[in-house]
Amino acid sequence: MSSSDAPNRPTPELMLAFYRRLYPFKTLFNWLNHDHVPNRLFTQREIAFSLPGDVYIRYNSFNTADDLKKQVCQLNPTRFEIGPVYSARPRDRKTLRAGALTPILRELVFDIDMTDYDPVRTCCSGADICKRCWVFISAAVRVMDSALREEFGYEKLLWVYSGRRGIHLWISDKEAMALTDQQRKAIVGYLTVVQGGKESSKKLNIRNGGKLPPSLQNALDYLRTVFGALILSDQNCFKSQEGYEELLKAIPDSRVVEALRTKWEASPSRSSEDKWSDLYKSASKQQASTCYPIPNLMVALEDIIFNYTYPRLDIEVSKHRNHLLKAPFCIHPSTGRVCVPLDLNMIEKFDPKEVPTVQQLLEELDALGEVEDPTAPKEHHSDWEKTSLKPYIDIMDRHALSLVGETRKDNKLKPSMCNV
Amino acid sequence: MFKGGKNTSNDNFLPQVENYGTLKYPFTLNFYDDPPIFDVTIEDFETSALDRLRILAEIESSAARNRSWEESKSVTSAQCSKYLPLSPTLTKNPNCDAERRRDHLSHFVLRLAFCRSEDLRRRFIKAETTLFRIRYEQDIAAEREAFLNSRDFNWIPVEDDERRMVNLSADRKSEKYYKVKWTRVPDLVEKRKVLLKGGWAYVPSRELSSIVFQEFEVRLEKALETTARLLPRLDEDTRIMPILNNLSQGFMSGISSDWANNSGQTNSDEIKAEQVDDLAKKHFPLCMRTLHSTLQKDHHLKHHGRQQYGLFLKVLGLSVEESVAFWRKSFSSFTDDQFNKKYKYNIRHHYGLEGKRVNYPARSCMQLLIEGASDHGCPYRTYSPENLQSALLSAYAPLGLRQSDLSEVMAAVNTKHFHVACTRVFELTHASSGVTKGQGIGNGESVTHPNEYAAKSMDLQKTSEAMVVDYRCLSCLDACVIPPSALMSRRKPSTKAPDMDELKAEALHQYQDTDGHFSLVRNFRLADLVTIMNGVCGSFSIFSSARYLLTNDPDYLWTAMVFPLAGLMFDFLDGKVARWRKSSSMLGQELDSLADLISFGVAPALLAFVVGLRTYLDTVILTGFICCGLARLARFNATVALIPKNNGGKAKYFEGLPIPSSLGLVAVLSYWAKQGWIEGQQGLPWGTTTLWGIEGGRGEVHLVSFVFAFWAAAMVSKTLRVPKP
Repeated sequence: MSSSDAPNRPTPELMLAFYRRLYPFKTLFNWLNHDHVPNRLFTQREIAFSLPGDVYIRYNSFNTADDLKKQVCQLNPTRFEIGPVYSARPRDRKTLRAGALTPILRELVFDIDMTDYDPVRTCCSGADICKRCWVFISAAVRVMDSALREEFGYEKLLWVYSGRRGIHLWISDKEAMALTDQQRKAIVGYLTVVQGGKESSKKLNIRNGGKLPPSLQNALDYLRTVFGALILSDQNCFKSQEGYEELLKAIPDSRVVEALRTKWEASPSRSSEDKWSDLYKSASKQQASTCYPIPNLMVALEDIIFNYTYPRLDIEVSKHRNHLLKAPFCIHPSTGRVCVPLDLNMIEKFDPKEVPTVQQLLEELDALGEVEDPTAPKEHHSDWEKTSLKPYIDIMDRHALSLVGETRKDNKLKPSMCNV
Repeated sequence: MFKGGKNTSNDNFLPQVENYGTLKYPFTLNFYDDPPIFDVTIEDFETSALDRLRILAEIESSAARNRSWEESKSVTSAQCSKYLPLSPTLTKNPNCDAERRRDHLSHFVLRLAFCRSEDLRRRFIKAETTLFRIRYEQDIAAEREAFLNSRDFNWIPVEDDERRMVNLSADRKSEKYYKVKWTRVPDLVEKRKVLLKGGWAYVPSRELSSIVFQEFEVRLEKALETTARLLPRLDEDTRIMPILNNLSQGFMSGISSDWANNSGQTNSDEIKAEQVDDLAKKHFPLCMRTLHSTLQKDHHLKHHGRQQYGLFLKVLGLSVEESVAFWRKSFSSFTDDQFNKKYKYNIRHHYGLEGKRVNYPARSCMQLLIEGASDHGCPYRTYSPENLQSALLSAYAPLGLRQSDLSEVMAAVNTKHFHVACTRVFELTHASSGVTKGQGIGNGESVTHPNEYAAKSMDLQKTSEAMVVDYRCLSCLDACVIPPSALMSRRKPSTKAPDMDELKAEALHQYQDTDGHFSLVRNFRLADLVTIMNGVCGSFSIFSSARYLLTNDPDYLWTAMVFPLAGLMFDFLDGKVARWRKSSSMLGQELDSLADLISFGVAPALLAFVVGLRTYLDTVILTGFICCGLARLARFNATVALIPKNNGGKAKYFEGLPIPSSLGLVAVLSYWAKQGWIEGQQGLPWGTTTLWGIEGGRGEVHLVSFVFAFWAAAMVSKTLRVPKP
């Protein structure tokens, strides 16, 4: 994958054409602003530009979508990122009293990155991603989505493919926007079960007084199904010796470990499913015989399921309001793919390799033929309508419109509080 | 100054306080909703705030030193009862209201002082919330209940059908649940201690306090931000701003500033100019060490440095004459004339003998932290990390500070807890006097004043001097200063290698730092086990002797005589093993001596008793023999470092007969036993003599006993020097 990245790397010319003709600034504006009339959700929003050569311009803010577009076309950044809504316009920050520019509102964002799954995936590693490892992401999306909707009561969730190997979640509910850093930290803590990184097989600390909290019980019921299909049959995680040694490490009963190890060493052809059922059998045997109260193997099996399939969050992204995150529809600088929003219903069918790249989109435009005179000043707003980017922009538009509708409803209820 | 606040405060309260009589503040706990709207004197304004600051500083330092919750609770409540006591309503204390009023006032003064920067606000909120939590937990349950009922926390009790709907855990049927927006209990949510549904958190009643604390914190945060916005209006008051500035700076340095108040007077002991150098090496905190070495190197200090160091020395106990002498000597590159003209006035000024004639107190850590040039101020703050580390090592390595300790000190420095770093250095460099981690400069207090550091260090030395045999006297003779760590060397002086001191100090730390069961055994080195074997041999010999007395079987006698020899073997071996494994320990040194006492003191004496020295006077002499052995070993441990060494670091001679020489006596005894010249057979050679009284009475003694008496005398002798083989 990474070897094929190089030819996909978009040139500045391609980028500029993309920003001029395809990028849906209006949609982005509606989504950030929650309204058609610019308010502080957009005007006091920090936008940061990444220029080629590691130049980073922070604290930009714009009055309208057109302002933003003008600036983007002028700077032609490799990507731009969205920050919090500040207490004043970030671009005026030099004229403000020290400490007067503080973040006040911000979408609650989450980032799941495939690299965190390296210890448990066998198909790819590092920056690569394929259809098979996407299943990890889709499982994570399902778990997160139901937790955030049902337990935290959030509704305006937007999942965005990050362009290479991860997925972002933006939550735009009013309550979510207003969360403090401390509350963000709490929600991240609530949703973190597996600490990413090397020691992924570390013992999980999720049981308060021996019982799973109800939220995790629900997640577990779903993850059990994923575990069978993904870990056992597709990824076949316990096939290799390192794989099953990793599994055995998580089992607290040394007698069972020894018995299984000898059995599996004797027959290296046993599949992951066989191994898991071996393990499951010894666990149920143990549960049946009353003489073993602890260590409970069933608990260990649950922990293993969590370890292999529970969402692994990049927690730093979510913890602070002033963290910047790449805007949807940007181009990933090394793959050339567009960061497209995803519909929850198609999350399982999504293939990261089928996401349109910037070249492909511009070729599609070219294929339409030079309909208009390029010298004539013309609005390109509807150009994307004719490309394969359309379905994704439609998703985003629908989402933005629901936000706008929400704001309207609020304004009708309390006309005096007109969104300021 | 508070008149800008809402004027609704106490009117709201009054209807609810009827049960409590006329108290203005019905509860010890306070959410500080309303600003104080009474008149206060500027003095009350400052003192109450300072007192509260002391408590908050203690809370901060507890957190920085990783105290457990229980521990910091007890430390903090001790501080509270000292500075801001709050008695419960039940005690009917007539001062109850005044105390609460003071608490109320001090909180609001500190709000003013700490609202000004993000960092200060954050720290203030944290400390205040902790204080509230401590008070909440310690409040009488009934009063706490009353307090909670007096406020509306806006939690909704969960009815039974809703309860069934959200499927709350069935095992706690009796427990009441309340629901609040989840954002009000982020700490419970983070630990998954509550059930969430649609953004509501279902909080069991045992976790309700969490809502209270969170509410307190959120309110305080909002209030501080508001205060920060309104504060510029206060700037005009020239009386208050300096006080507020002072308060916030005090908090920055984490100072409870006890010493700042009473350091006008000097320590009791007079100190002479020539002692300063010695004291500086052993007792001064890093700031003063640095000044001292700069002074020694450059023969000059700049004005501020001079002032800082001069006042420090004054409080340390240097009289004005000694001080002039000290500075004269240090400023050696100046002529008498120059010195008298330029600097003498300055020194006398410090002592209040010139100019304004004020007896200036020495600078506290707080003052030093605020200033900041390279050669004065607090080095923990002003030095770059690299410079600080090398300065620390060069200053304190002889006192037992090691490279490996630095990371801990630097961690405190990096989090800007300079006083914690300084306190930790104090603990590390005084480990040999028994100061352990977390003990600080006594009772867990941190360093807040350079003089406090030095005084405590000198105190500690005094107490340990009582234990170490006249150490200072010897060091005077030796002319060179022997660091206390030199006294810790293993009993065999020949094992001394240059890096041994460090190894030993490390071993000592290991004993201190290991917790839990069997820590002693877990820390045993191989050499220690060998030494123990020596003790085992001695004990076996004793038991064999006893058995011989019971059975009269000569085999047991022989066994008893052979075991001390085996002991000697182990005694030689342990030194070899220690050198081979390069791991000597503090324990080893002590073990060695104690084991020797059994094998070469008690066991031979008992053997002598067994073979015939059984009269009354004989036993007295044998007891004397054991006691002399005991004394000799103790002296050896104390003075081994002071015996002149040859180039290889080996001691040149033994002072007094070494105790294993008593094996010579055992050899003689066994020869006699072989010849049958023992009690019960032919009797001891030379027989007995009667010193007084009748024959066979109290005055009878074996002549052989005098050999033992002579041997005992030779062991404790100081003049007798046995050259080493």
